[in-house]
Amino acid sequence: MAVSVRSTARLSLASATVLSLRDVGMHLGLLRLLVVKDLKIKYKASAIGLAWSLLNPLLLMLVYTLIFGAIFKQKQPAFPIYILSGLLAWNFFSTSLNGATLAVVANGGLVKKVRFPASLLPLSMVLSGFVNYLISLSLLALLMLGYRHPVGLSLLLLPVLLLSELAFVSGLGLLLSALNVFFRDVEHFLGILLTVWFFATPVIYPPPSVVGMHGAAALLININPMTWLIGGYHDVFYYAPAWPSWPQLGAFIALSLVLLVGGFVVFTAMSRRFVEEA
Amino acid sequence: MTDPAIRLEGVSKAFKIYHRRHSTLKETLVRRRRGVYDLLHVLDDVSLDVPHGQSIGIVGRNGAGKSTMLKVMCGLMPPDAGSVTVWGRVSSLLELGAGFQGEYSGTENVFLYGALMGLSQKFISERFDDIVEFSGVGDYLDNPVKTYSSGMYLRLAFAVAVHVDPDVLLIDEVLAVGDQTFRQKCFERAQRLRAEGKTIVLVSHEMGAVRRFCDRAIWVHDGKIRADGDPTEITSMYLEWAEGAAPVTSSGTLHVDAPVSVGAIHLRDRAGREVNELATGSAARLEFEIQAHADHPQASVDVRWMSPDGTCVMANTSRLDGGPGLHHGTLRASCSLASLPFAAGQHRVEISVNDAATGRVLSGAHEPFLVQVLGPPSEGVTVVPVEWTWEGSRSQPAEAPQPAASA
Repeated sequence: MAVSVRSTARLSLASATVLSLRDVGMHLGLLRLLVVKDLKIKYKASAIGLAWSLLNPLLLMLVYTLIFGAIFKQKQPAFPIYILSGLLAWNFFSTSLNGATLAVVANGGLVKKVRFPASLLPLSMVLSGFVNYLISLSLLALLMLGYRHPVGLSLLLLPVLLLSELAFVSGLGLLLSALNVFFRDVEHFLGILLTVWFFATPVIYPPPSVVGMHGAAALLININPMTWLIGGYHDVFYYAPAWPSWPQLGAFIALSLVLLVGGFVVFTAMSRRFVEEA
Repeated sequence: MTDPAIRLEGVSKAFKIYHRRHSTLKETLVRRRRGVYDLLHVLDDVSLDVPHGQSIGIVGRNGAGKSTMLKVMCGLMPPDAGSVTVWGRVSSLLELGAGFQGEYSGTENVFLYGALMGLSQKFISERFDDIVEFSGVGDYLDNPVKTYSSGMYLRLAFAVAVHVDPDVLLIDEVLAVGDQTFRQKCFERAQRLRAEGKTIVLVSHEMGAVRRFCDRAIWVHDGKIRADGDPTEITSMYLEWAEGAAPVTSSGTLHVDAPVSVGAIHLRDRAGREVNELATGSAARLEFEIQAHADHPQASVDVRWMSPDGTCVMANTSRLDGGPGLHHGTLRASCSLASLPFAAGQHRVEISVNDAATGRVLSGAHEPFLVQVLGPPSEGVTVVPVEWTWEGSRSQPAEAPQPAASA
């Protein structure tokens, strides 16, 4: 009969990671159930469930377009497309990261009493956010149709952008959700961090290079990985037929993979103490 | 020779018990730096082999390490030293409905539980009707389980745990709740699993259940296996010790560190006189004191009446969270019984304080409290007033009805 539980005091990080990966593989049904449940809650809780999740970015897009169009005399053509393409990607990032960070602590009762790969809790939050994101992209498609905005071959890179963002958010989510079990400050700190991060990312304003921004602020924006990612989205959706900046995209993909692997390893190591702390 | 289903090799587990919560950030920082805590050795170099198909009972007083042993067995807690190996699919009932999500409906929880165990949706679908039938919560399946009574909760949890075709079933005390019919059903089901060659580990305070149900028993005391062998023998040893145990005060024992202690237990009769023996059917009042070393807003108090053979004949739970909960300090409690429904014999009262939210036992073992129940001998364990009537031809004229019967 197959071994179902093997837990020892000293387990190398490598073998713990392999075991934990195998465990995740055996619980894909659970992952699906958690994702479906989360989406159901999102869409069933109110009368026009799905509409709310689309209405929110739409409204924000209008507000930001008005601010930057009317007040800052922004004269970019079809600026709403620029705003919405960045905003949807940012929303996926921030909403999922928030949800993932709270996931383990919020399910403390489950984590403490049932043995299962707890990494599925943050991962399911990220995945349901991802599904939500894919749905909301239809909004962007409609907007682009309305503007008769050109698209180029670079749109073929969209899956790469989507998957690397998924890996980035998953890795960061795993890391923060595990840390939050031991230091509850993480969830409070994250709120502040995301606010600052949002303004350090060209989502609602054009990239520094376009407006000729220089100095420390421009440097901060340019070394921000989210700038690389959002820049990629802007290139395939807004600046088409432009291609994304290869060094930036490459750096983002590499960073995402490192975060995903690192996040999973750290989560595995810390999860051994969840039962006592969660 | 049978292969082992569960193997513990030199397993140790200790918890850090921090002294009293610090109220200011400064104190917290100081504490963090110095790490002022005691190590509580809950399991101390335990080795155990449980062969396939054996049902084994674990007995011992509160805080002895029984539940931790189960948590280590199901892989929930990694040991600090040693290793744990379990062969085959493990299903566990560690607490009442552990793994259930209050907001989820009964149906969703059944599938969630299956998914937590790594089972496919198809697998659960095939067994869904059996689970529902066994649990008998049919009409409430679509309601969130937080609206269930604790009996319904338990029935559904047990139904799922035994229907997922486990090879190893770990049960912690849960059978102590629920009505008699359901307990009987659980018992029969567990017997069937036993007959099918499943391995079962049962942690229980009910010596009767351990004797009826297990092939083997171990007595866990202070994190070590103190005795291992025939259930009847082991449970008798344990009961003898529990009744004779002096109030334990030595610093090496666990309950000294328990966050709550129970003491000053008294039994009073209808007139308020302190007694230690009472006749079957008479009114009684149990008084005791609970001393808490910290606040426990969700505390609940359990009073168990154990029959001479160690069966829990009555268990009463009172939650304290309706009011101010359990505060740091002393709380005097009194529990009145309209009539003592027990058959004659020496009964033992066990009082424990639990955290209703986590199910954790907060109180340490208290001095054994024995009550001698007086009355006509009975084969049963409970006695209630009974009235006989007769119709038809009888050989003798009826005498006064006998006011006793057993259940």
